[in-house]
Amino acid sequence: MNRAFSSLHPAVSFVFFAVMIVFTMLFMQPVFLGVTLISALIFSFILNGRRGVKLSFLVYLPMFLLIAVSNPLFNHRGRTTLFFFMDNPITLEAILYGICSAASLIAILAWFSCYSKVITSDKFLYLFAKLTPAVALLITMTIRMISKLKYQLKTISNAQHTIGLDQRTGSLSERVKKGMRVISILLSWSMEDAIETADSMKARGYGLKNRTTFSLFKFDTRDGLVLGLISVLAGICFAGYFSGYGTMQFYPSIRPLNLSPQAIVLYIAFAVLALLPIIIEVRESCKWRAYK
Amino acid sequence: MACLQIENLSFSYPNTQERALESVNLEIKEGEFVLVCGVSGCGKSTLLRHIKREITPHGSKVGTVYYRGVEIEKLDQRMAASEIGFVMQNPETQLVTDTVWHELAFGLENSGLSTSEIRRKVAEMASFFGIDGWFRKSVDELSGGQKQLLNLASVMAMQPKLLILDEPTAQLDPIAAQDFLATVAKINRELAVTVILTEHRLEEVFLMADRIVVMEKGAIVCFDTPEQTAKLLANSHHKQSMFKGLPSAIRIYSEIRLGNHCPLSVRDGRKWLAEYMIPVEKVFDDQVNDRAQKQKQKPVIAAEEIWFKYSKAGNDILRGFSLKAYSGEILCVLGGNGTGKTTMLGVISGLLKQYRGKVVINGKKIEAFQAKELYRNNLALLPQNPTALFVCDTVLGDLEEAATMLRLDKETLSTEIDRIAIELRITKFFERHPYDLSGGEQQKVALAKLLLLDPKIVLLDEPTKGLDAESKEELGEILKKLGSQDVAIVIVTHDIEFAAEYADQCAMMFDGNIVSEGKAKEFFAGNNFYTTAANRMARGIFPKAVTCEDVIALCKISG
Repeated sequence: MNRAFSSLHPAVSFVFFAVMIVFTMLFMQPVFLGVTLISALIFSFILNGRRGVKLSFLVYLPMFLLIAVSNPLFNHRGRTTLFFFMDNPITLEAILYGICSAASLIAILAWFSCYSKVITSDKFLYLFAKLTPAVALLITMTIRMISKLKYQLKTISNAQHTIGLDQRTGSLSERVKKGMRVISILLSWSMEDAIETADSMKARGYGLKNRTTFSLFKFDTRDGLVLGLISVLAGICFAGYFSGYGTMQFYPSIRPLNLSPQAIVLYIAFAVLALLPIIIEVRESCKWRAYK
Repeated sequence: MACLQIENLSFSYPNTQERALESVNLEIKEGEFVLVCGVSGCGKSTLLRHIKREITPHGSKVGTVYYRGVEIEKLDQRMAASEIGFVMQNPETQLVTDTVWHELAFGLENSGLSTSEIRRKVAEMASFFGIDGWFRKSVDELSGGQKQLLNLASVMAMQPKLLILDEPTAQLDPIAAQDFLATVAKINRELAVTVILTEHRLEEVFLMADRIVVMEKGAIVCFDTPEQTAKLLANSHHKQSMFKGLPSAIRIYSEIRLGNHCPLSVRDGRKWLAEYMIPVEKVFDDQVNDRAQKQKQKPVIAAEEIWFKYSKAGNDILRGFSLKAYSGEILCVLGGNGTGKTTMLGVISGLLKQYRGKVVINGKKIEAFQAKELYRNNLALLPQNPTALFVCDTVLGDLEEAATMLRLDKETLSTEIDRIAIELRITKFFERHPYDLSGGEQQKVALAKLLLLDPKIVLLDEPTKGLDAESKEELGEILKKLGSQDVAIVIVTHDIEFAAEYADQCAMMFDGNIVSEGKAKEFFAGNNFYTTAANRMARGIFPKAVTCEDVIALCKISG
């Protein structure tokens, strides 16, 4: 589906996901983690629809509980003992730490699932082509090749089937033999085809110097604005992280939440950053509704 | 200045004595549309490849090719790549990348153009060809005709001044082929691009060309306007083997030779016939195989009310389809693309399973057969692409391998192979690689492989695809012979002319069903549009004449 955020230039969306995933890994603090987890999940719902909800209940929730529960069971650090379980102390600090690390992990997973929806293979190739054009072309050709091979394999196997030499029947050794035949036909056929493909490439000037790489993506003003916003917000958050706002002391006892003005500014900046795709989506759908 | 000039070009492939090109001289003007024709192996492709430097074959070469007065070897690389465009036969293999837009841009990327330039050129080409609708599609989603059009568009995106096409429509169905050729004509007319084209199906292109080159054994026999070439070919006493591929009007004229003007198109031919002939209502009934008598026999294939779809949610491909085939009869099933012809063969041959209805082969339900029983001494399917059958490096090895896999004993094996090889006249290719054979030869070798199984029913899927007129004739004769040996033959084809000539019975398929069926000649005489060129030409004058031979025979009576 063509979403507002997905239509941004691949470089912008790639930077966004890179920044979010790095921050989610770096920050070990309930406010940040809560913000990143919630926005990742909402965005994943927007992108995946009903499947996203199903995914989060069937995969994320059990995983979250597993990590959140297992940390206090195996980790007994912390001063505030709540109760004993099989003669082991269960501490408040360990429970909270468990919840935070589970949130961090689930948030990373959720961001990755969004990433794979937004950065499709052609976008990835485009980004990759900037680094190594030759490899990118090779990947493109391979994608084409694989679908062609699949088709050829089916054709061959059908043709062999109708002369009674199908690899799906007979004893095991017969099957192996017939299977090998099919593969051998496939190899020689595809090699023969490859010669023609090579001719077609040469005929269109492949091998000339200074090959360029074309793409359909255009970097427009909107991409610039969003990228600028992402950079400013990410800059603020990085500054905050390096001045120690990103982490919190859990052991031996939990420090109270930092609510100084600087910290509040930081929380807001991070929230805006994390919610950016959702804001873009919502803005666009509001516009559509208004047009109707 | 001539666009292209070839001087005394001779060429032979490595390790052969025979010359593939024999002192060829040719001068082609700017903006001309030149058709090169000749039988398979006459050196057409070799000649075309010598004009495109990047893909010139290796071998010993004498003589020179000049492009706009410059020797082709001395052209600037970038210029040579972009100004001379080359489109090959197979639409599949020419595609390099996975998406339509990338394919269009591929040549321009190679030339090192900037993104904005590429964007502009690609946009221009996509609009010119009307492919902006599928611009962002993956190439796998395209049909064969669309793929070939894309190949043409991506060559045209480089803005060539000379466009070379080597049998570009051989793998396409007639409708897609016409579309493609119309686009080539448009390029020539509107962009003034010089076009050099080779073709087997001459019925349409013959009229489109400004001049026609006729080649024989590597040499140019004739290079003149269509009228003159037609006259020359019609009057030549040694009937060349490519004669069979000429438009029907020319073939008929060459036998009758009334009037000074040789008709080229169906329209001209009709005018000509009307002028010289008295209408005759003779019915051709030379068919020995009488369906009425056949009907008393049991059909070898009986498909009854077959319903088929590829997936539960998909559309029905076959809708209550019924068909009967009798032994000793050639049945042609005709129909456009996507009418379910190939699917029908799949169901009859047991590859696909219908969800309603039944297929009875030799009085036994197809599901009741063991795989070995069904395909041994019983039923065989020749696939559309014979390449799918070749395993070994030589034709002989390939036949022997198939025979061994089938567990024939040594003696019967070699006698069987010899018998079939002589019958199909393929003994001379025994030591060659199957891939090095021409389309027609490959088809014959594949057929030989099937005949090793001694089938009683032979199914063929588009057997005439990409064949020249001579190979078609040979294939037709082989099939007739098989028919006389009481083999039932079912052919699925687009090729009306072939069906008219060789089929006993014809059926037309439309929308997953057989809509009309009848004896070949009656079937075509009864159709208005879907019939042979000869029949369209003689309509109203000789309404029952279907093939060129029929028209000629009647002309002799009437004129």
